[in-house]
Amino acid sequence: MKEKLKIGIFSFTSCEGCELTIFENSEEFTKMLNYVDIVNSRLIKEKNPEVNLDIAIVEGSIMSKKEAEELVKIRERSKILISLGTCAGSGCVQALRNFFSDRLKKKIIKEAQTEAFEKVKALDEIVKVDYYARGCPIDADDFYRIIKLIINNQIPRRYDVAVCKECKENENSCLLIKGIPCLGPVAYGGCKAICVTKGSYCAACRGVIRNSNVDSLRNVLKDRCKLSDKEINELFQQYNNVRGVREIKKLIKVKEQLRQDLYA
Amino acid sequence: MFLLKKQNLRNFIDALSQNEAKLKVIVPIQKDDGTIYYDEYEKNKDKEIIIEGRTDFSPKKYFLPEIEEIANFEKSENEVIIKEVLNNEKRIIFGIRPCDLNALLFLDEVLIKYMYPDKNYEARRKNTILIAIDCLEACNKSCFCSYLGTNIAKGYDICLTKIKEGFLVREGSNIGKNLLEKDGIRKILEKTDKEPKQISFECKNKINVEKIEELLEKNFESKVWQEEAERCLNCTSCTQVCPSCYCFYVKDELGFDDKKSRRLKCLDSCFLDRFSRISRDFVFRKSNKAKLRQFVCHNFYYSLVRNKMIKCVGCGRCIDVCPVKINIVEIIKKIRGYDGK
Ligand code: SF4
Ligand code: SF4
Ligand code: SF4
Ligand code: SF4
Ligand code: SF4
Repeated sequence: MKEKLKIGIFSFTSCEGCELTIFENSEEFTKMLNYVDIVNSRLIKEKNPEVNLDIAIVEGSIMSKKEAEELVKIRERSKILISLGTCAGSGCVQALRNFFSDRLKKKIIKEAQTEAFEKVKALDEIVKVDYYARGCPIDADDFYRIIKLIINNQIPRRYDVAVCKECKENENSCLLIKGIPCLGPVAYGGCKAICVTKGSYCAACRGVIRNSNVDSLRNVLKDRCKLSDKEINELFQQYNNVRGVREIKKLIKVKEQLRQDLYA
Repeated sequence: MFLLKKQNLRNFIDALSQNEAKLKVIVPIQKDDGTIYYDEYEKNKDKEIIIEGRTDFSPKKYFLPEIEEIANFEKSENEVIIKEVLNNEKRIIFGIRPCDLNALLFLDEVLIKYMYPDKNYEARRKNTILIAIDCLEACNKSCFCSYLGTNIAKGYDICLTKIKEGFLVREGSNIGKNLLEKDGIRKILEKTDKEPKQISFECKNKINVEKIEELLEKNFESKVWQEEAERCLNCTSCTQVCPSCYCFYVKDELGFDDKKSRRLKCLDSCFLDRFSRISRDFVFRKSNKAKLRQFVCHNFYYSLVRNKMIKCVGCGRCIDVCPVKINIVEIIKKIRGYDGK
């Protein structure tokens, strides 16, 4: 048998719910342990030595210089780095702080004399990320799909299929047609369209697909759902660490040029 | 010809589901949000069976499921054992509409008769009994089946026509004939010499398909493609609800232990980059214009050349599900309008 891969699981600012999702699927988790050694995980291990890793799985957004430095160190000693969940992928709800008023920001950051950055960051704003396990929280099947491919020496392919595909697989009626807002057409799928299927709308918690037609969706949200520009911006702000449509378009363009999030 | 009294419809379906072969009966029902789709009768006995109008989703999933295991492989000491998987569940689909029946006839042409038979589709097709319901009028404002002849039921085992007293029941195959003669079923039916009226309605959404392959061939570079495709979201809703779309890709799902690795056939869509992605991340049909043109031309041009049938059966579903109101009939009208200009 091949030598086991050394894995470390790290948490920055987050609820650690994504990490929990990994352990929750106990069947897959125990199978995974035949192929990997978890050498670092605050949640399940007492001793967490700083050793070189085959795979670093990193959850959480980066809030301070200290966290950023730690992340750089993890990157330096890991062959592969997987971003786990939306906090790591975009900043998630912590990043909503980025859009507070200057006065409020000053009070909670400067006056509190915290070490915190003024802007909450995603991992890929600081280090290179190899693969993304997306979602708030992640989907366990999606995560194990990525891990299995890596263990089998394959490259996890990018899954740039909109949430709508899985939404239709579940035979849902489309919210947009009924005039209810939904970001499914521009959101990375892989979540089984769980929110729409359970009666809510898609808030694009898994991120916005690099070459998706954001402008056209904006028109639908305006014409069919009667949303104002401000409301549309708020929808994109919830999970994607952007002020609104203009910034999300810029972000996905930059990612396209840097060939970022090409995989998983 | 038999008569099935209105009040006996449920008894008829009950009798079908109690037949000795233990076939699963699939019926069109409605979700709480209003969506009409097909599901197992056994699990939905309290629900109303929807026999009028178009179903939002066709029963395509019973022939081409979103994901289907077609093989699995197991690694032992020094060999790999590959097992093919064929679905052999037997079913009755009750209430399938003429458009969706015609779509199955098109799929048979492509997936069974043309070049390489798709064993999985063929097995599912063979194992399914089709009980159709005639449409007596256009089901909504977007369908255009009457201009394609797909408003006439074909290829069914049994067909029901609604009349005042209930339904006229006729057989379309030996399987259907035998089924109607089964004890539990025969006693619900009465013999009658009434005949169903000729189906002769016209849909509101008019389409002219005369020499359509020539029209589309000539207008391959028409500006209409770009004009219409610009707003496409690549959401794939249209190809997914289309009863005659069949594209799939095959992927291997690896297990942690080599025992459980599976080969899966998954439905795809020509609106996705992934559809035409090859090595080095190169996508050769990347623009929305080319993607939409593929969708329309496959429906009305390539299928005619290759399979001598129009792929589209005019159900109008792709029109109704498109969030940006891209409309296959309007596109063809527009191209005809621009033709030669
Ligand atoms: S409800 Fe949302 S996710 Fe579902 S098809 Fe419509 S836009 Fe897409
Ligand atoms: S449906 Fe949208 S919001 Fe819900 S999990 Fe999927 S990507 Fe996230
Ligand atoms: S192309 Fe549209 S109208 Fe034609 S069969 Fe498919 S969904 Fe129905
Ligand atoms: S190429 Fe497109 S239109 Fe044709 S069957 Fe495939 S998905 Fe449907
Ligand atoms: S449903 Fe409309 S927006 Fe979605 S892929 Fe089809 S044509 Fe494009």
